[in-house]
Amino acid sequence: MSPPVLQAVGLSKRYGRREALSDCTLAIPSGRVVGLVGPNGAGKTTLLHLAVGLLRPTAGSIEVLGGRPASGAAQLAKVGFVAQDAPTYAGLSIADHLRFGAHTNPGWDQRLADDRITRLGLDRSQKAGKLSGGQRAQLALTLAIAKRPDLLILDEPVASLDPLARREFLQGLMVFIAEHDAGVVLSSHLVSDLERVCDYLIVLVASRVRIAGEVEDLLASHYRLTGARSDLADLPTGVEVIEDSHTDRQSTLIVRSTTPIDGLSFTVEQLTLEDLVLAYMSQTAADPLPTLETTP
Amino acid sequence: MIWFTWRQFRTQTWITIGALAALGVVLVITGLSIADAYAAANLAACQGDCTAAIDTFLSQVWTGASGTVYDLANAIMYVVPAVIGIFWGAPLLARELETGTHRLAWNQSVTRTRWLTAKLAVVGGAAAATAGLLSWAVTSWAGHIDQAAGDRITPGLFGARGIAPIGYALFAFALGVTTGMLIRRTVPAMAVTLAIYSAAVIAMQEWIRAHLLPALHTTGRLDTSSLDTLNTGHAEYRCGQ
Repeated sequence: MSPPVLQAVGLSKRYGRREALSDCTLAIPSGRVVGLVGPNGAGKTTLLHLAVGLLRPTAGSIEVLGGRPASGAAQLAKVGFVAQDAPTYAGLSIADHLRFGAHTNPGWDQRLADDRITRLGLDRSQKAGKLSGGQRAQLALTLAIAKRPDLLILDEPVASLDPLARREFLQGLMVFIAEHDAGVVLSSHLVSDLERVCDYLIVLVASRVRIAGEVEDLLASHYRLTGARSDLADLPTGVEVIEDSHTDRQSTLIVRSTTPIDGLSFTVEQLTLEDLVLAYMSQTAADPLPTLETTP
Repeated sequence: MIWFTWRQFRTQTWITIGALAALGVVLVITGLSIADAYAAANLAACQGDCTAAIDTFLSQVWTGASGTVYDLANAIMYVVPAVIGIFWGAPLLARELETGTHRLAWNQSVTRTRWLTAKLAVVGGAAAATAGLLSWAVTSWAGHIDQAAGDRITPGLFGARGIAPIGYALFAFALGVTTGMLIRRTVPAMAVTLAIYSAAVIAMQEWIRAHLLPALHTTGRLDTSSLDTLNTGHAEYRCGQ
């Protein structure tokens, strides 16, 4: 198996006394489309900025594709990044942006860039400041993928887009993933954005990684148990409660278990990815953290 | 990177070239009338006591348009570095940081060191070239006047002639870049640059420059024959010629 695309050990970032990311240990396997999900302010941007070297860690270490982020031109060439809100130069035209990409990236793929702009139906002489949010995001994505990176990192690429632009953007991304053998990490505060694209998920809540793993494995190891409260008091060993809610007559638990659970006196249901993520998100910071298990 | 810096900087470059050209035209036109006055006063051929010739020449200069241009040119030599600091220096990093485009620029395959070096070299070089060109034009244009008036050591004039404006321009540029980097917002950075530059220029002129070299003391005999030489300007001219 090839080395992980992103490996973080005890990674922390502190702003004054505020901890933006604490003790994050991760190993993202190669060839995956990774979704980084968490509520606003959870530290997603901090983690991604650390991965592209826009920030330096306060403690711990991070390696991307085997190198220190932004350690040199070669490392920068390997990682494509679309920052939050897809920044572009408002006063410069689309053609200027493409020339900027061509001048600053040795691996620049002019045909790929041209094809994408043509397919999007964009006017090359139009100033980036006059583009809609969706078009700007597409331009930023074009710049990031035409440099032919081995890993593409996108920070909330669709957060500010309307549903149609959102779908078009994700479709463009999926075309890229299908055509090129590159890893992708994208963040969002909505699971629904990631669900269709990602096969690996990281849930980041309150500056900590709650869980990370293959989407398939996550879905296969989480269950919703419903039954009488007394029946749910004794759970087999190896079953970990992520979230519990109780009414007078019945309890609902969301649990993680590496072995299948047999429903004896309670019902066992599979979870959707959204339910699973929401269960982790609703954990308050005071809750004991589940021991992090990364599937390498 | 150099192409892109030029592309971002293109509008300012054309504005600068246009302004320099317009000023050049004004200097050439008034320069001709100064040359005429200089020739008419017959200063070049003057030997010995030139007071009368100098007075004729200068009064002709001050009464014409050249006098206004002279004062204007001196002011421009201090305004241009400020404009460079405010419009070239302050936005150089502040605008990138403010609009977030540094996140785009810093993730191309060009190291951030090279990105900054290219920006500083291209725009800083343009700042030095602009100030140098302007100073050369004004210094040579005002050559006869300065020589006749003999007050190149006047605090205000010192900073407006020779290589001093290049120094002021580079100072203002570096100041603008630094405040832009620290404040991270364009307009406040521009305001702070202007404030600090003005304070620095006034302080330099009024209080600092006089102490940069120890004062030279001379003692001379004072009598009627040497009384005239106390008018330093004319004396310099007389001794020099």
